[in-house]
Amino acid sequence: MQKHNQKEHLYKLLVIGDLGVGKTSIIKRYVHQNFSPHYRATIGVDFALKVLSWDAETVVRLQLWDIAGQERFGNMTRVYYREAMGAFIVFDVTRPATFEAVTKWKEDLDSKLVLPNGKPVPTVLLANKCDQGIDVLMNNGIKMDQFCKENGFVGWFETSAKEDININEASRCLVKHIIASESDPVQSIEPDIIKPHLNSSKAVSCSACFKS
Amino acid sequence: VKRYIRKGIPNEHRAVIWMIVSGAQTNMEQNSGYYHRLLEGEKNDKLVEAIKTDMNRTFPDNVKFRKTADPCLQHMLYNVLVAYGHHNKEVGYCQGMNFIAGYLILITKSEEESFWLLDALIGRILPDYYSPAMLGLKTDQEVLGELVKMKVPAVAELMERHGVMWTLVVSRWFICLFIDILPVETVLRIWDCLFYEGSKIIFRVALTLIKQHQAFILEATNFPDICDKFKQITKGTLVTECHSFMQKIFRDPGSLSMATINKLRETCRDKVLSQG
Repeated sequence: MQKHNQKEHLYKLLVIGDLGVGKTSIIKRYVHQNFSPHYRATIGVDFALKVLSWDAETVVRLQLWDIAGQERFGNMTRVYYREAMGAFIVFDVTRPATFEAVTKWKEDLDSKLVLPNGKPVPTVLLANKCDQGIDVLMNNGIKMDQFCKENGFVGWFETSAKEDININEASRCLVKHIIASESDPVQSIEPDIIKPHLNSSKAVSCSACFKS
Repeated sequence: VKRYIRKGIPNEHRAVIWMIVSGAQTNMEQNSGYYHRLLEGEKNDKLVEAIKTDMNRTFPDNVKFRKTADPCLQHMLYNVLVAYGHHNKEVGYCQGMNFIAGYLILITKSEEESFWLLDALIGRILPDYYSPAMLGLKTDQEVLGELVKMKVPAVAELMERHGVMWTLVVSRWFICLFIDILPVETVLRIWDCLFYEGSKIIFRVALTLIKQHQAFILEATNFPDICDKFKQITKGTLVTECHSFMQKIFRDPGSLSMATINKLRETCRDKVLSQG
């Protein structure tokens, strides 16, 4: 039944991060509700579509771009990033180097892509493979909250594609921020955006997205 | 010899013929012991780490590539890639090479021969696809775009209208040389020609896939649709019947001289470079 005033949003989302952190697995879990330990390395880029009934009036179509993690493919990412509305940056909690690369991915993203209002695209950080029990950094959540604020993430989640943990939640968090950023063009004329070093008090995410 | 190779090398002779026509045999004989010295030498940790990450992600469905297999092709694959990364430091390791080396190991069943065949492909037969700048890859994607403009203009027009960059739909064709895109037997037949006739064959295959499915591709009405169509056209009877497919690739795209390709490569390379 076609509702008269139903709104439809189409968002392109990027899924990026170092190689082998589980980007493809997260997307397959989210879109196809399954998991295999036998996914092959992604070459170039792959796509998947997910349709969400956001609320009674809104349908959200997500176009998920699964981008190969090896640095040299990054040469082509400017093309892939174009017109994206949000991003997940993924790391593997069992491999510290993949967390260290997170800021590099975020900087790369922000340097290649800004929203029409000049702001960075909403980005959620995913600490994947949390089922492995080898947490290299989760000594406490507060540090991660701090890390996210300092680096401009709108939220973070411990995820497991294998055990289906927090992937839907992370996606809802990201979509919520995208919708908010879309309906808030006024922000672009607020004065503090020309002083980005002061933005930590203002560019705050909804705290509901942070784990307590 | 060309006709014989285009008709397909019998599998039991494949390794030998590939080795001879590619020059890998000569290189191996002139550099006796080199491969083993590479494996014994000092290793670059970062390179080794990247290769290790892909070990369980190379042909995971093939039991011969499981960690526990005997003989352990995964271990052979690891050695070939590590040796190659230290031999060709400029390229190091690029994802995609794992699949190519895997096929070479399946055919030759020899690490050393696979190493020299990989060197023939990456060092001589293919343009610079795998180095960090991937300039040869970006160039050849553009070259394909130009060839499609000439030979299948309606598809080129569709791509342009919807803003679909060629790299989005064909980068895997070039990087993986059709592995996991076309059926195994078809890939091997293509490689027979690749080793003997060179990289031009890749354009012939790509153009045939596009031309044969022109009407199907043109049904697409939006961006994701187009991407999906390009996944579909690598399936079906056209590609599973590898004998008739091989005949088609030499007939369908029409004439395709190396001079044309070289000229296009030159102009496209300049274009890619100017885009930064």
